[in-house]
Amino acid sequence: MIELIRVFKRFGSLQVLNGVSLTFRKGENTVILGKSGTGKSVLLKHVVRILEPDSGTVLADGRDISQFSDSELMEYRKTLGFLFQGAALYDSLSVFENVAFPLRRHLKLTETQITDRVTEALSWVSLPDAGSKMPSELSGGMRKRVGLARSLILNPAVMLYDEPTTGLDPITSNEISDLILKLQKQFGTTGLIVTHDMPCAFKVADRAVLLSEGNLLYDGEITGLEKSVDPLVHHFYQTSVAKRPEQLS
Amino acid sequence: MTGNLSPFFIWFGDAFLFLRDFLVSLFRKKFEWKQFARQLDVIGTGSLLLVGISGLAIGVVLSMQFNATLARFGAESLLPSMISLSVIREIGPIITALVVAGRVASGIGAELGSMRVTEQIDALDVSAVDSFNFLVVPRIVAGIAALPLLTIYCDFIAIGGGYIGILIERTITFQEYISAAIRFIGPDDIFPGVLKTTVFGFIIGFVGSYNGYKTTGGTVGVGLSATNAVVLASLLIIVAEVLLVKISILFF
Repeated sequence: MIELIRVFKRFGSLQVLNGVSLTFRKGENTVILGKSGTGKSVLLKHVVRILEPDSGTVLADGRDISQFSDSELMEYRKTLGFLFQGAALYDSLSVFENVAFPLRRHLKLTETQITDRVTEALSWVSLPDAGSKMPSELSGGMRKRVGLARSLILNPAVMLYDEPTTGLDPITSNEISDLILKLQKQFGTTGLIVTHDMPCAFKVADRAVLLSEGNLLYDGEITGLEKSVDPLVHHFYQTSVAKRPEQLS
Repeated sequence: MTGNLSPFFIWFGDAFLFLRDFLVSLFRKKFEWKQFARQLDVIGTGSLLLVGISGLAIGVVLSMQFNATLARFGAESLLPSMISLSVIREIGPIITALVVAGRVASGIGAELGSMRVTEQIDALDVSAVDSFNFLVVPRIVAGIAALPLLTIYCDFIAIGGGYIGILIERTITFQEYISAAIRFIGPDDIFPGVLKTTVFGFIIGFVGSYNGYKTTGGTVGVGLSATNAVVLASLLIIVAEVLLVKISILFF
């Protein structure tokens, strides 16, 4: 379980997180919604301690992650997978080596075992033959899928997805959403999903939270967004969903 | 006044912390030998052609310039020694350092800067890999290791270039040239020249890595990091040269 307790974060004059308290429960997919620039990605980066709060606490299974030693932090991070918005593939490595990278760093496996694991992970993301390609040869959607294969190669307990379907065509978006669900159902993976893609959100979410200007506006079932009496929540729902009902079918 | 000075002090403090992190990682964490070998290849092997051409040109030019000057005093026989001494003590180290700074500091700045803005450095950290220890430490150490080797290589080529320069003016065998060139060369000429290049190598690796690793501001930031890295590294090398010459005069 991951908890954020009154987390504040400011960049210059911009207050990005304004005392956010949230709990991400084990095995649950939580969708984090909100306008651009409301601190969603910043929130994810606090969970993996790429960023540290100005004040407030992030707890992982009850332990304050800011108190972790270097080795404890590394062990903690091994339990996490992070799909970056732009995939963040290593330019100098082939697709195969990108996906194999965490295995080579953290596990003592034979070359055959590595090949088997990488091939399996690439099959999961429907790119079984892309191993020899370089990241520069891939389309945006392919890059994202390779990034996903790399982030799930160590079977993480918690997956953090930063806009997993942004910039993808509807069919690929749907495949990625299916994959997020599959990971949750098959391995019990906890999912923290930042997205603007409401069809994806409705498909994968057990729960939704809505951020606005660094504040938590809504925390509950995603279907509850529609019924909320809060005018800001209602407005968000109307603009992001109600105008595009055909995408939800 | 304070407003103008504070960014400098912030930068200086940040660079100091970067240096501290480098020393802590170097002595307390597992050294990334594979990355070191790769960077040694990039910095060392990759600079051979550039350093070689620069060394050759400098040797030829020095030879022609000194020859004209020495001829006025009838001291042409001292030409090989003058070339070798100037090259080994000063010209070789500084030319090597400036040429490598131009190629490598900007390259490191751009590469790490690009990795920063595309979140590749964050991806390393999230993959439980210490990005600083993985990316920065091997680059700085490779700079320290490569510069002395490149300088020795540059010295040889420049002295060879000096021979070509002499041949333009008069006839002398290579054996005669070499024996005259090394006649006045001692360890106290070679060691200060080569040892100070470890400082130049550190400056190149450190400045390139610092600018790249701390890049902000997208692709514009990457360009700035590369430019700042080469400008600052070249400037610091020249300043360090002045200090190191003073120190070497005291000790050698």
